[in-house]
Amino acid sequence: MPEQVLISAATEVPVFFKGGREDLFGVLTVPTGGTRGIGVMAVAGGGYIAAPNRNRLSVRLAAMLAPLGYHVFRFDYHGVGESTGYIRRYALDKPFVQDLEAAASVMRGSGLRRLVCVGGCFGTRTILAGAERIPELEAVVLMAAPVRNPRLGDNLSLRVARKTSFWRLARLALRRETLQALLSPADAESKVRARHLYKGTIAFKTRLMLDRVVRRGRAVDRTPKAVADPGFAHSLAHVVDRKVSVLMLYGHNEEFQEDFLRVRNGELRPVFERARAPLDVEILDRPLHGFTTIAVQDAAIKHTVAWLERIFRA
Amino acid sequence: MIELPSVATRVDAEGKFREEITFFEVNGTRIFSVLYRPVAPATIGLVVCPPILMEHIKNYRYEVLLARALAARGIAVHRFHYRGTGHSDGEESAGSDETMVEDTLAAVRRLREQMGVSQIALHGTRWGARVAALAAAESALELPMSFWEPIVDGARYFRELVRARLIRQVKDPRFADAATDGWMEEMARDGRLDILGYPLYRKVYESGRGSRLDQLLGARPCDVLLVQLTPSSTVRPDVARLKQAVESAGGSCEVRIIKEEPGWMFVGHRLKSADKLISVTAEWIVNRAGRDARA
Repeated sequence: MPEQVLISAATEVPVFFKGGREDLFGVLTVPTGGTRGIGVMAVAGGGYIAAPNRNRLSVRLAAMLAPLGYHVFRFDYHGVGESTGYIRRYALDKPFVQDLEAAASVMRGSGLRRLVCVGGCFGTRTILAGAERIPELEAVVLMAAPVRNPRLGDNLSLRVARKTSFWRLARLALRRETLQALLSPADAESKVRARHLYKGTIAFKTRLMLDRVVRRGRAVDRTPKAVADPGFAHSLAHVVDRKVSVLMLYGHNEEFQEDFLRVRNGELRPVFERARAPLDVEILDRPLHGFTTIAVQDAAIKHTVAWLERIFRA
Repeated sequence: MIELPSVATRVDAEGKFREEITFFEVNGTRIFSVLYRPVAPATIGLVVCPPILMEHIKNYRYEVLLARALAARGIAVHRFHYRGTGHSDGEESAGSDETMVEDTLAAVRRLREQMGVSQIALHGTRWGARVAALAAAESALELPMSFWEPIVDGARYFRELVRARLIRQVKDPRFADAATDGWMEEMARDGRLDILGYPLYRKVYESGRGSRLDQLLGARPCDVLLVQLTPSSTVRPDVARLKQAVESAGGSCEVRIIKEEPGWMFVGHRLKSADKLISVTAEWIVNRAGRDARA
């Protein structure tokens, strides 16, 4: 597969479109050869990543798919890239469904009646939550999909509690900045987050110290339990019941994969058992979340293209 | 299939400017272009030179917001992506100083043609500052320039990138498969280095490692705004050296410090002082342009 991008088998069409009150932006890659009438929406993750995605992942995906006859639409969420608006924060349980729905309207407006969504991390939650509103959806590729909703600060609380001594933690807790964040936060949401972080750190530290006394230092896993978010489980079940083909792509040796494997054999087992359309899981041999190496980006594109070809050839 | 127009346009909510997004060709390659057209005819225009690698996507939103702030104040702006980067077509491996400068000068020409502006200024962030300075030198015009956190020493910049890669390998064993100290061999073998998921190609490395922005700006007089983002309130030595070089050449240089750790390597981290960064820069450009207009 080519590492460089030279889109010559396609026309790139910039589009502004409405998503609620905001003007959203996207680029539609239109194949110049034969078209299959299938539109792939490249859905970005969190972290204010604009439509090209990390190292132009979405541009490269379009460059691979366009010569095969697929339309590809990469777009900016509100508050990102060329779109208008502002994002206060990303929350897995509040994905940007309205933006995805608006992007799907652009695809319909272009005459496309068979749709596919491809996304990573936060984007997978947007895809699953938005799937109910996109009746034309035939396939989804979910890369590094988080199955649970760690409340912001869960992992941070544990990390701080583990790495910081009791006395240092006490000093940190009584710092002016910490107390300010707790007592006079910028807004209600910041207040909730600051309190959650504060309480979580105290709780983890207390448990770790008790473990040391009661269990005489034996290690206890205090990592937050992997329980599938009801929204995730429900949305995945909905997609599967609609016979939408699903590829779940995870990276080896990373938190999201471990969480997924736990719930795959637990809460999600019935969903996998009743799937009548392909519900495939592929594990790449390196970390996938965040696409932080070129090798994993190339692998993600390769697996996605190969899987789509398999699904749509059939 | 339904045909879509090749230019996407939107009008600002307050009706002060229009944005036009399209692709224009430079040497047969389609370059992503965003023009900001103020309602009143503009006489002054700004071309924005983006940074490279992860800093391109990190800085993306701030460039959009700067362009919108300036357009609302009557300045025409042209943002673009170098070939092989962002939304533009082209092979990233073919990117070099020459192509980036060529794209910048094409963007300047397009801004003049489309908006009829008589004065042009350049804005560059990080590596984009170097591209802006090279383009200004190539055009032989005395273009005012504003820089956010310019890369002063190319060799040092590349060392920092390699260091970031090494730190990740040390901190996270999952990424330790790449040769820790063999990055030169990797560059020689693959023609590129993977820096946290972004390719640093040999052409860019070789053209940039011996370059110094202070030498470039010290060659001829120009007016420059340097914005330094730093947790402390002191001017960094490289920024001080840059200021000195500009002033020695007979130009003027204003340094503004915004207290913040920018974390250029961390894409998901949002600048808390973005509003200040944008307002300081917009103010300088508007004042600098106004001075020219009065003269």
